[in-house]
Amino acid sequence: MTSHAAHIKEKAANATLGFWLYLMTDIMIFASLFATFVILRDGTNGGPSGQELFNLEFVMAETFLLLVSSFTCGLAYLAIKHGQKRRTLVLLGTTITLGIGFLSLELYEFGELYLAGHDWTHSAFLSAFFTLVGTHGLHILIGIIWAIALGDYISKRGTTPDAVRKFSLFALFWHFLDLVWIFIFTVVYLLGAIS
Amino acid sequence: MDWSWLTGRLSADYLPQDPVTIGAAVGMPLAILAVLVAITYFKKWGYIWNEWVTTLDAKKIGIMYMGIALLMLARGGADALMLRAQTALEPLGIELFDTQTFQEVFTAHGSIMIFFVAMGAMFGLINIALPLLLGTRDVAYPFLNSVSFWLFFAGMVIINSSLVFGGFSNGGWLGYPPLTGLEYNPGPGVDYWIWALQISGIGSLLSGINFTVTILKHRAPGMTLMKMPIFAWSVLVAMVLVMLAFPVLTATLGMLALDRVAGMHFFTSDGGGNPMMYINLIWAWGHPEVYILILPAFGIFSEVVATFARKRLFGYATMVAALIGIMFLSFVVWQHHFFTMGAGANVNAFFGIMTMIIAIPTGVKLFNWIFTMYKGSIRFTAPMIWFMCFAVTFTIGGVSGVLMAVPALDFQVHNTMFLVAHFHNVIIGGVVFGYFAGIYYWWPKVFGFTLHDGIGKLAAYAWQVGFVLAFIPLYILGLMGAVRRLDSYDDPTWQPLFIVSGIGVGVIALGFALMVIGMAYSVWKRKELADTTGDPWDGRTLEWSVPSPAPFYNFAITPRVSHRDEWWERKKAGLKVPTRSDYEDIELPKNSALGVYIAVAAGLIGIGFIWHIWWLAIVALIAVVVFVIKRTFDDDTEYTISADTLYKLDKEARA
Amino acid sequence: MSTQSYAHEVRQYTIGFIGAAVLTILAYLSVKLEWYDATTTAIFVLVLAVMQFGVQVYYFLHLRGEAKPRWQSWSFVYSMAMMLIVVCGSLWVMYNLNYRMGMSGEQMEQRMLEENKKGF
Repeated sequence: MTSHAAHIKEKAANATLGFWLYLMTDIMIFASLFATFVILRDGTNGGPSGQELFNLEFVMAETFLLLVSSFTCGLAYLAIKHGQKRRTLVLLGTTITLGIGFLSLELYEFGELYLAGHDWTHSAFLSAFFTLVGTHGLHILIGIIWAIALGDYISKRGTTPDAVRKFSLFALFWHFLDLVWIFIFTVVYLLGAIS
Repeated sequence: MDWSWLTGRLSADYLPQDPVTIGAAVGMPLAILAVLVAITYFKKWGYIWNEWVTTLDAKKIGIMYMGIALLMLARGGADALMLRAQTALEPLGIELFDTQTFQEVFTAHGSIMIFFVAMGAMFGLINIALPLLLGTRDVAYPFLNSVSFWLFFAGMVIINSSLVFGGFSNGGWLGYPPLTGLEYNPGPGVDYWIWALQISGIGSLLSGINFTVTILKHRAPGMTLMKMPIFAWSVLVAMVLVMLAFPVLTATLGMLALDRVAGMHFFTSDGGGNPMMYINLIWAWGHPEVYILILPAFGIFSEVVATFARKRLFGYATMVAALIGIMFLSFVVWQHHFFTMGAGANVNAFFGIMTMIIAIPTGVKLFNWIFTMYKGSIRFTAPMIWFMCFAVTFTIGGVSGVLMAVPALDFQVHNTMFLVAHFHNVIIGGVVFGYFAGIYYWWPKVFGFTLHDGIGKLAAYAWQVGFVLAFIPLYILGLMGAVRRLDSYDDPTWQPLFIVSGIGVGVIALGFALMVIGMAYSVWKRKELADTTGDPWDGRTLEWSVPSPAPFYNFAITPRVSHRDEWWERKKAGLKVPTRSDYEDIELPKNSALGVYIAVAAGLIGIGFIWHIWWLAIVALIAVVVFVIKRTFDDDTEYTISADTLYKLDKEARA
Repeated sequence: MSTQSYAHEVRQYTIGFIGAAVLTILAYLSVKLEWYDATTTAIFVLVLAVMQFGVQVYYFLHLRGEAKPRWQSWSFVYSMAMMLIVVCGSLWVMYNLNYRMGMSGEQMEQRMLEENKKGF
């Protein structure tokens, strides 16, 4: 292949490894927040614990919204790899919508807790809860903004090799966030609900 | 109309109150103003913008890092002078500072030295040397490199502006809560500290990713991992540590910030919070951090010793193994920083043993350097003198560290001057001497002339003597019971030792002055000191195969590598003159202003959080997102240099 | 690109999705319906979480498809190892610290008297 084409291929491999390493650093941030949560979860300051506060059905709804969005994201990536612009945009749009749905449910959950007086200033447990789950939610928000920008890019410039590369990075990010959610769901909510 | 939302908690109350701080707070802005006026007078804004601010050339970014690091060394050193002057003179009834100021000074001293001098010099030297050593043109992500530097710069601006307005933290360089929590420190000082570190820390993290991918994927063709210069191995290992450790710092500082800004209870003494958790997390970062600082210095010494002994490095494979061993072990020792906090015998024993084990690979490296020198043909140039000083000084510091690795002994000396002596011993002896050696070694490659060797050696001797005078007394004082971070001591028999220590800092200052004078003199005499061949040391590695100063494209022809010490082997085999057909078109990154824009916005986020100007933080955050998205939409980020142009440029450079 | 490989890729994602969904539902049910006692349930859901992690990493992140040298796979393994060391190490250290240092002044005095009686 020409040196220019080789250069493009090299750039793609480059970008993937670099982004992957960034995800590893994000794992360390979440790990720190998880460790802190586990250690502080008994610090309820006389207030309610997770068992009293969490609604598992609600969390299951959030979980499935995110899991399906991870699935549609994967399908969207396949579509763009195969040059199917319209299909890509539809699946990407679905991913974004499901992501917004997840975020809405989470904001509702946070709002309910806040209005009931169980906000992050009341105990170490609540501080750790809001921070850990909130940091994940913040990443989801960033992902949604990214996905919208990506959708704009693809609709303007098509399914070019650059677009495929950019999409693969977004897909990595979105899947990664679902992976972290597995542990939030398990460690924060399920373990919190066990008596 | 209530305007407080506009200006947050800004108020004239935060202007400096005592003469020393007022002096600094007036002097620094005046100096900056003088520089800005000079630039305007000489009409250099265009040059500075195009050649330096928007550059994506790693060598120039490296030079900027080094400049800031040396400037901050002056600032941190001035802090040290003030500290030792206080303890030396206080028993005579002269109190230079009140306690609050003293605490702010040692906090600033530590924070600046670690985050802006050591990290800055490290990234500076890596930027300058790594691509050249790997036989490549630039780092993997040149734009990200610019972002990293400007984030570092933003952090530097934040920490220095605390001097002018608001005052700094008094919580030590690691800022333990509850002292640094909202209850005991409601003012902006601690917030300045948090955000200076947080912003420059993100820059460090991005550099960690950048240099790792550069090493893994951008080596010259034929350069396998086991053929690359050992400096590159040391950087690889250090960057792995950066990527794994810095996120812990980010999370921990973030949680402290949330405690302060949102009333959370992570590390408060009430509400179920646990300050001990902060200490645990911050040291889980802090210990890898000190290995991050030292490993590239080790790498520099490996290159320097082999070059000036005219002998290949002894035990390359064991050096690599030792580096990897240190990489792993540095993550299992962190608790030794708080043996005395009360985790009990089992925990202390485990971490104590691990700490002692980590001394072994370090010892292996030291022996390998000595074996490299054995039967070599040694030239005692300035870099080599820095190595000799390191070999003795660092060993003493390392040994005092192994002493403290025994928990029972640590209980006696923890948080005394003994500890202060130990870490200065290894940092000055190891990190500082190592980066100074790197400066003297690679200076000709960057600037086209060598530094005056005689003055450089004098500076090294001054630093060595100054170090001994300043810190060996502290070992003795620590054993006698002198606790750290106090501005006055009761025992008059300790006074002579504090005076000796004070004199020592003065001699170190002399050493620093000699370095600066030497640099200025060398610039003046640069024609006589010019490096005409590109290879002033008869070096072994690829950076010496390009002209000095290194051209912006590094290598006109991508080198094909078949040996370790490739350049040395090529010289032995006889050098060929390249023909026109050897040259190909190359692509280089275009300049970009978005790096500095992103960093300015990030800095404003910090300012917003420090001064509770929430609208500013939000607007700046949006600005960062906009700038990042803008960059990702830019598909035209490179430009081509044709083979013809390259051939012409190369011929001129080599003439 | 062949439609055969496309269909195969879609199937991979679908298997991953169904696997993850099943594991999620199992974990939820075990807690809601209290299949086991507290400790066993805790271990059960954690094991399911690790399994789902593996399923998603394999089917969604395609870690195995990488060309040599497998930097992503190795950096992943190493990062997970270091993460576990930092997390588990922190939990161990903090557990000990909380146990020994998390008591009131009177409790501490009581404990020190008892330790003293026990001798070295």
